[in-house]
Amino acid sequence: MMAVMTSFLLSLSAWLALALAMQRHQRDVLGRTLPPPRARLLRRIGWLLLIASVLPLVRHWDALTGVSVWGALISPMALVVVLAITARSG
Amino acid sequence: MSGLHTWGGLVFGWLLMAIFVAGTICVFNGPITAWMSGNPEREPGPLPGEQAAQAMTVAVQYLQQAAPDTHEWMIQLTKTRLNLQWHDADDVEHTASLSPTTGALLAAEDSLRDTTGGWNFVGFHYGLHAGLTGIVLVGFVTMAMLVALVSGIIVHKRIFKDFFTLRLFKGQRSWLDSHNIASVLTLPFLLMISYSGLVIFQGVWMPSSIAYHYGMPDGLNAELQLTSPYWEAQREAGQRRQALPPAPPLPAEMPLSALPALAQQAWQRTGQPVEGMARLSDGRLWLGMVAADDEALVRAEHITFRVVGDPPQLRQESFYAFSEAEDTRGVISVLHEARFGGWTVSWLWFLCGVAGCVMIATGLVLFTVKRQQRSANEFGVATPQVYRLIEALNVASVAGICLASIAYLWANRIIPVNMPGRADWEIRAFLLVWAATLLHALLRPSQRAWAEQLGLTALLCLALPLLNFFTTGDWFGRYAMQGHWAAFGVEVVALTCGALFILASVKVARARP
Repeated sequence: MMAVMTSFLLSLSAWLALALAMQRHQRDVLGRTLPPPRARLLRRIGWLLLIASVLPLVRHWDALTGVSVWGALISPMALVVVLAITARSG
Repeated sequence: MSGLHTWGGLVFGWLLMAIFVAGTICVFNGPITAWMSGNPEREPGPLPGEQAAQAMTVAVQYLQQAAPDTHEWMIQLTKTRLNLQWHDADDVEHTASLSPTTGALLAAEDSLRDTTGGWNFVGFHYGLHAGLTGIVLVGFVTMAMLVALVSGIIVHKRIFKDFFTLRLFKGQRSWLDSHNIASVLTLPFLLMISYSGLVIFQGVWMPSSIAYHYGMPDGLNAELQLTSPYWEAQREAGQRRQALPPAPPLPAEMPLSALPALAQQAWQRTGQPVEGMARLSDGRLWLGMVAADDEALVRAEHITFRVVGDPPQLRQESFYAFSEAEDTRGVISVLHEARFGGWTVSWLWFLCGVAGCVMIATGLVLFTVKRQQRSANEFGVATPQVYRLIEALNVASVAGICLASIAYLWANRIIPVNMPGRADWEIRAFLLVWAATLLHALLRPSQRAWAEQLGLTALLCLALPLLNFFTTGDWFGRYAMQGHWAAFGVEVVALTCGALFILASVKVARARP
């Protein structure tokens, strides 16, 4: 359960970082755009977190099971980020 | 490519929606069956290994008394009941259930209501309750889904730019955004689930090998029949693969009283609970263990022993030793049916399934919304009538199948417990309500039809615990107090869906036509 929760949180933050690396969503959420180096950093962090989110699942089960669960786990988390951004931007 | 996506998606989308809704529901086949049977303790789980010998003694004593002349029997051990099945000298099948501790005869049926339960959704999902024709039809629809997914990716063009973009309250734009979000974000799942669904029925799509080798023209039938040249060849190939010496014969009169000690040995050797024993009509005697770890995607084959020699002893042997290709297919079907990863995977598959339903529903609605703005006039003078028919089919396939699904649970509580053939009537109710929603959608103005069917679905979902309370005295609060979380979950999910359907219904009713 802990592993799944950790993976939930990691992928949720990953999607959030990836979304905030995009100018459109910077305007939606922050009301301004970030300087390009900041955006690049966010994108890198996002990718790293997304890859990291598979690790707790792989540790909890095994590589094949972990990756299979991960493939379906990151989708609802991305939907959560989309809904949050939509609610925020009105 | 755009035309292919639009028209292919529309025509196959109607059935695909029904298949997807049923598929999403049947992730929770077990809990739904528990709820519908009226006996939430239906799946008792394995009998602890240390009780296996005593339970086998009980079962063997009963068998010796009730069927001294049987040569074909099976004993299944579970925590609360021993299930016995045997053929008498005239090859008539008998069954009995015993208490594992006292040996007292238990009621034959562990379900208080005769019902197909969640298996209705499973059967409808893969075959529309229409036999091989249905399976073939579902397969074609699945292939069309793969085509729609790939063509959709090509048509979309802005996958990464619009990855997180959902603009609400903007009419057609919002429908398109929802359609894109639902499909893009769950794309890995959607590709996996449609492809793996096809692999499960590979015998239907690639029957030539089975036809060539075993002379059975339709591949699926070879697999579905318990005894067929196909399975005999499988068994022989498995024997060769295991490279075991020929089994030393059992004593001419195998004493059943030797079995409890063997069950005890098997438990001590593996540390796993004993699932059961069986003597087949060809005289082979088998003992199977409960699979150890059922959460891994690729799991160790569950251990089986064959009883051989005089005095009888255990020899570890696979009943069917499958080839790598068959094992691969096994993993793919475990993946499709969410039979791994416990409740985490069940819930993820359910959520991704809901997203798939949203993708199909919004796609179907998008077709008509676009043409309400400006008719594309594809059908000349008949265009308005054709649009009207398409709209009605949309209503019945999206709202109608949801209404039929919850009506199926209602039918379970309303149809009298003692009515003969009530399980069949439940399924008939499901199909008849679905047919009625199409009729309703054809008769009513489309906006009214949407609002009424979504509204009725919401009402039935929200009132489900009430209905249960007035018919059986159970409801989710009582299930929770007794720790029946599966049945509790069914009602809570129904309530949640009911709340969402209310929102949808009100939204549709208030929308400007």
